[in-house]
Amino acid sequence: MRKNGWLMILATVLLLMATTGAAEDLRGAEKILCAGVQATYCDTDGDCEIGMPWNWGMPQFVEIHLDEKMLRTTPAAERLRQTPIRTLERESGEIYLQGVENGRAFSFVIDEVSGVASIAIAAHGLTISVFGACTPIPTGE
Amino acid sequence: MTTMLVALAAVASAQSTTSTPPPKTLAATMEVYVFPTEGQDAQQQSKDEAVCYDWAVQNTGTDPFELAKKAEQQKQQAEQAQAEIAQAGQGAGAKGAVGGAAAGALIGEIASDDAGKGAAYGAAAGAIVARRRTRRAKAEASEQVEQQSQQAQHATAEQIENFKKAFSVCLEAKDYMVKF
Repeated sequence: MRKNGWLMILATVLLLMATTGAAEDLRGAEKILCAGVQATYCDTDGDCEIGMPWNWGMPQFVEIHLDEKMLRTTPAAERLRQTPIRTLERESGEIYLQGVENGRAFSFVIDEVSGVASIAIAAHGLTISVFGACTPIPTGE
Repeated sequence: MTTMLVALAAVASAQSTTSTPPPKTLAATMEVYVFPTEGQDAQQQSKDEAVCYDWAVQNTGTDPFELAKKAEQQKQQAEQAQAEIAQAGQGAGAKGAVGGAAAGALIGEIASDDAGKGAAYGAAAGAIVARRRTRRAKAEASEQVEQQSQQAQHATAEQIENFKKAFSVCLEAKDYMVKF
């Protein structure tokens, strides 16, 4: 069931990429779908571990609702999770997002042309950095 | 028949006499070498060593045989503690996975021990954190046990050294040459 859901999301992303043509071009997009590709978890002992983002509780896909200033799991996710964005800036072809939730501070830097996302999450004694890719969600989705 | 048994016993006795090494003296068991300088016989030497052993026990408060027993117990305890530490790590990942569940926010649940029930990523995160903590705790506990064991060994060696000094002084006073 979970595997099917995952495949469905993947199919949706591929479909979105196909329908939007220049899939990575996020300029002007109000809603973005991002997928983490690789994460690195480090703690104060200097121990670092590289793994998949969901190994540390990050959803496979995150919708970024720039218009609502909200990070949200996709409708296909097992349950809804969301986090408000405190600061949002679009500048020089980059989207900058920042926020704080449950003792975790996060920063997203997303390149509007390539769709490459660089994400940093920090909590007391630990940091997680994630690299991923984003694509716009067509309006009306 | 009886004659045969007696003969066999005699042969066995003779064989055992020739093959068995001479019994170690009390001092020799502690690797203390004692030579009688006034021609004392083995029986006298054994008696003197026993007297000096008691004297050294009284004067140093250390009984090497008791210490050896105690050291063996400590070694067993340390081994047991190490085994318990090793066992304590087993299943910690699974425990973390079950315990690491609850509903919540998107970013706020990342690397959280309270990730949501039924959420595989929450469970995985819980398991990883639990494994990491267990690994660290095990290393610390193991180091502590090792340190305690080393301290105990050091203390025991010092006590034995002290005992040997006292034992030697006593034997030297009874006209023996002593080296350890």
